[in-house]
Amino acid sequence: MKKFFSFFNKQKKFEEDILNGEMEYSSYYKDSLKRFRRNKAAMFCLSIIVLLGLVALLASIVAPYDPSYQDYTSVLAQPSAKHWFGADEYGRDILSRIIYGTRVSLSIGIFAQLLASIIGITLGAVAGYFGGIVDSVISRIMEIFSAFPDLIFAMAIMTFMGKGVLNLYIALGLLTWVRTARMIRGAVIQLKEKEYVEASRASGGTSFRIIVKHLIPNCLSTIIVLVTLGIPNAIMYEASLSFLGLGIQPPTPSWGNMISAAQSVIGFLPVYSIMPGIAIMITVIAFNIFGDGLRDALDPKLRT
Amino acid sequence: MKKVLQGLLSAGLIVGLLAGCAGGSQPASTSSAGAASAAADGAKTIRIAAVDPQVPLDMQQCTYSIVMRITDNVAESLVTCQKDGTLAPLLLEEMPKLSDDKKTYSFTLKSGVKFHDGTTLTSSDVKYSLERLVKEQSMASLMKYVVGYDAMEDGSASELSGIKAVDDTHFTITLSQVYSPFVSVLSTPYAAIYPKAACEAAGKDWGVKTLIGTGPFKLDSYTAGTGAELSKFSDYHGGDLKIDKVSYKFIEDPNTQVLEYQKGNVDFVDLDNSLYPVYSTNATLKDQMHSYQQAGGYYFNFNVKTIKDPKVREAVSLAIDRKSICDSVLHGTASVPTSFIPSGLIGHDPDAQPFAYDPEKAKSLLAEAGYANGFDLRVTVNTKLSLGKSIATAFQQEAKAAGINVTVEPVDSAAWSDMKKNGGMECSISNWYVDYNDPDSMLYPISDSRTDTVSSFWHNDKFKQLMNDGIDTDDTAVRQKIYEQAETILTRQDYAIAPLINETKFYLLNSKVTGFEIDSTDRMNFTKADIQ
Repeated sequence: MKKFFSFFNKQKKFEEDILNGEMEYSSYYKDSLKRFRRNKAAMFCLSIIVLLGLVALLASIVAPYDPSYQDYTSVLAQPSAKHWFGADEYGRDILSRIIYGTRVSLSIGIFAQLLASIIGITLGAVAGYFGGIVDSVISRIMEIFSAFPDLIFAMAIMTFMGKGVLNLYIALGLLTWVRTARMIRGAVIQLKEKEYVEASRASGGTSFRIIVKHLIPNCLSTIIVLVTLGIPNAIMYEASLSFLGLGIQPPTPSWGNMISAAQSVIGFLPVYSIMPGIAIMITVIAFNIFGDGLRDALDPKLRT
Repeated sequence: MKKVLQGLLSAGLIVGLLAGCAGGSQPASTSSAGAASAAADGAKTIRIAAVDPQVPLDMQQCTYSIVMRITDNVAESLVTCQKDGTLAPLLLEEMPKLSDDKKTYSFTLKSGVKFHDGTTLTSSDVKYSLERLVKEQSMASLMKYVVGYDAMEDGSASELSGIKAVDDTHFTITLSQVYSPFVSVLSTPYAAIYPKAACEAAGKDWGVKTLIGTGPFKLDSYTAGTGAELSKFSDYHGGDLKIDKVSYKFIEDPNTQVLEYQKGNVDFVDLDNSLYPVYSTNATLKDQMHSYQQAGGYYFNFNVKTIKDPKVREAVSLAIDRKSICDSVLHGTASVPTSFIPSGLIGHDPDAQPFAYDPEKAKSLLAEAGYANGFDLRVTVNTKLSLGKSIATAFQQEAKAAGINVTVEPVDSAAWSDMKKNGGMECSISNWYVDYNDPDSMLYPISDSRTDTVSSFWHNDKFKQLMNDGIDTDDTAVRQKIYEQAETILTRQDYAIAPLINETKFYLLNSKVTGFEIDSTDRMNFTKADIQ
């Protein structure tokens, strides 16, 4: 019995401390950051992502050569001091092309996810909030989109719209918005029953205001995780599409089209296919572990 | 605990993968031991890696060289082109006799030549086959100088009145004007002789389910996606054959083709020039590599409607560093042409200089033409032509020095044909090889009646006149002069096209196979082939 009362006393003291400024108030995101910092693997991957971002931004400084410069004396050259990863079938430096390829991969990942998020969040929130016929219609659209095998769907879009970087962003955005929309719809259905939503509605808040001001911000952690885990997905799809000749077009270097070009000389110049492969692997793993770390950190239920 | 489990699992996976790789190489080595092409039952089979033509095996309908590679063994033409480029009778007793006005040819068929279905070759089969060539349209123009061609084309006649069967073994062909390369035309695979009755009976199945000719091998089966099987024709008029079967295996990817060769599953495979070092540095493959020169090569085909100014076309030609492409990108497997008409053909000027590379001059020409700030050029390539893609990619970078911004547009074969027909190309990397050793065949794609169908639209009255003069005489010296002039107009005055490279073709052949040849018109001959 005594124990029971001591709990209330503790709670009281805790509230008083915060009010008196003797104890620091810790917000949800602050807590999450703290938790994230403790995850060493995720922190390491974050540093890799930052590094990749820097490489992409500073490609022109980091890369030893122009990615489309053809050194005719080094066609299919093996790795050497001159060309660390060798040179491709036109004598272009493979290392430089991988470095410039970072730009393509990261930008595809980010822009495709941005587009997917915009479509997914809007439709997901609308479907979840209004329910009924609106939800039915949007849900059926989502089902139609997810009924096709992903890669074939992306290939169809690319064939229909034509090749090019911009079209690739759109194709991959269209491919991945369904997942975002589903998650947001689910979250919004739960959240819309909360008191603060009712309070907002009671005080005359419009549907738009409730969605934008209250519901979406409360889904932010879900969105962040979805975007981070969606980026490696988009990078993989870009590589697959470029490998199949439907993605980035030459001479723009992309890891996917490098591997595609390298397959014919895989026995002769193995670094040519291995190096872009490693680049894809590192990037995808880094984003995945980083995303996992974020999810663990942002989900209070997983608090240890 | 979870971490440990994860670690164990991934380690297991990696080991599994490695074991998979190691296991994969095992059967390879065992099967290459059994790579001898003579099978256990004693039948000698040559296995060819080929690309699935996906069309009927009939050169009169589908003019692809991959079709010809198969049909050449099954169906024969009246005459054949020998290694030295001269013609020899194949289904004829002797070379045809030409009348005094040089318009009527008299033929005598070899007697007793059998088709695979047991029937005997007669003059009516020849007449039927050559008329079918016109009906099938694809290469109808080869017969355009035969009397009655126009009537057949406009539908007012159902036969070529110029072809007359005298009796079963004698017939004559009369031309409306002198056409000196006519006998050469008869050596092409398009002029293959089919048995009239069987071909008519087969209808749409001709080339799909049945294909009958007088050739050394019979077509046993043709299965889409799998291959084509040929077996020895015991009644072959050309003598006894040493091999029993020719088996074509359809393998799409050139790399897979070579892997199959290395495994010992095929005896012949074509090689990709851009991969030359891969094979030439391979200790076992380099000794089994053979080469041949096909008369023809790659060229830029300009659309003169969109690139109107010849100066611009000249500038594009000057911006191509052909030597570097040949020496580096193609590893010395190609040479810089000096003319569109390749050496060995009438009209090739032996003193002509290779096409120059001069980006500075190209720049000034572009400036003169009003493109001082750079010129945008769209280059279309067919993704099936890997060499075209290589050239385009190399050129894209080279052209910058001349201020030409190149966009490479890779398209598949279907889009390629469509764009050619509807004039949607600005500049394309095309290739062309002679069907018979005559400049008239080389200049075919840019002849006046063709240019509107290949997105070129180039017409030049002088050139047209020279093309007509060239076939009007059989005096080699006169023809040499005429075609030299035509060449100059084409590639050094009007720049209707810009020759790029003449490549050497390579293939791998099982060292046990002997007596096998490919000639300069890309035709394979198995009649003397044997397996040791």
